[in-house]
Amino acid sequence: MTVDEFREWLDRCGGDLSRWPAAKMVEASRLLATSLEAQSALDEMVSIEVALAEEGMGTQAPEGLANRIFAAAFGDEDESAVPERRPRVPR
Amino acid sequence: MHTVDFNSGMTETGVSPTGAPPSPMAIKAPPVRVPLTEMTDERLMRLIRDGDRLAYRTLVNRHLKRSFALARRVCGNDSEAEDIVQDSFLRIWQRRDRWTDEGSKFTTWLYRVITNRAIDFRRRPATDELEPDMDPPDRRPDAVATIHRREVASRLSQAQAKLPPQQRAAVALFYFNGMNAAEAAAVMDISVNALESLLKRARQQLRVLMRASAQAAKDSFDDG
Repeated sequence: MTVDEFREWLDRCGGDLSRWPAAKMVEASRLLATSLEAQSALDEMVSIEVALAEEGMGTQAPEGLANRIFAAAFGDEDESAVPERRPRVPR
Repeated sequence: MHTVDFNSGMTETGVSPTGAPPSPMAIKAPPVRVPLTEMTDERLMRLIRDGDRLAYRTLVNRHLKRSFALARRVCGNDSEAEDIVQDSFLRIWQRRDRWTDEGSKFTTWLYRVITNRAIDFRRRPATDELEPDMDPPDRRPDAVATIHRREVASRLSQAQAKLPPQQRAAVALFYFNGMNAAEAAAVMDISVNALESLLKRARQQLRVLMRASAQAAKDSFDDG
């Protein structure tokens, strides 16, 4: 497997080699043992995937959104004390 | 047949927990009470179909945060994501009588509605879009690692904004929502092969964009 082929498989299957077809995983492991370029490409893909998985993990729903949904759905008087939509402010 | 105790958030099923036919003793025993918070989405939807507001509140609260995060990731805009999520959940209540247990899981249906709406937003002409919300950089001296992570996250966010909407949705479902390819494909209503093709092109493009962005940052630093 060449480094270019390795990159192609990285794009196709991602940086978790256990998800690769078994034969390709063996070839990739051999390449990684000798190629700094391949190691660098793997590091690059893994860092992107980790960042993708972590992105937005701390995202909270906007304050009062649930109450606005209930007020819109039920239209009850007891839901009338719903806060106005939170103004958009730079965070 | 369910009866719901609105004060406790419990429902009575009258069904043995083991599923065994009721014995004379079981008939005399009090019915099994299942908290709404422990019910499956599909069971909550059956109650919602009958107009149960408490079940609806439980369902909304259960999925609100993740739904908003998904919409935000795909459309890249907080305000629009809020509208998408509000409208999607409102539709559940307004069309509850049309709900059927047959077919896909509730979350597959919910995420499909949200994803499609967010993709539609991304496809609007750029002039319709608001600026994406950006986090201000953290400049505390003890936060070097945090700064680096935020810079990577910021560059990644900018790179994702350049992906076509379908690729962006595939990435959000696969990586953030933790779905496998088959589940993400079901949400997007495409084949697994098509989903994997979207992911491949997205990874390729993100890799190229991230590298270009890192090089630009390095050049800027060298010039300064």
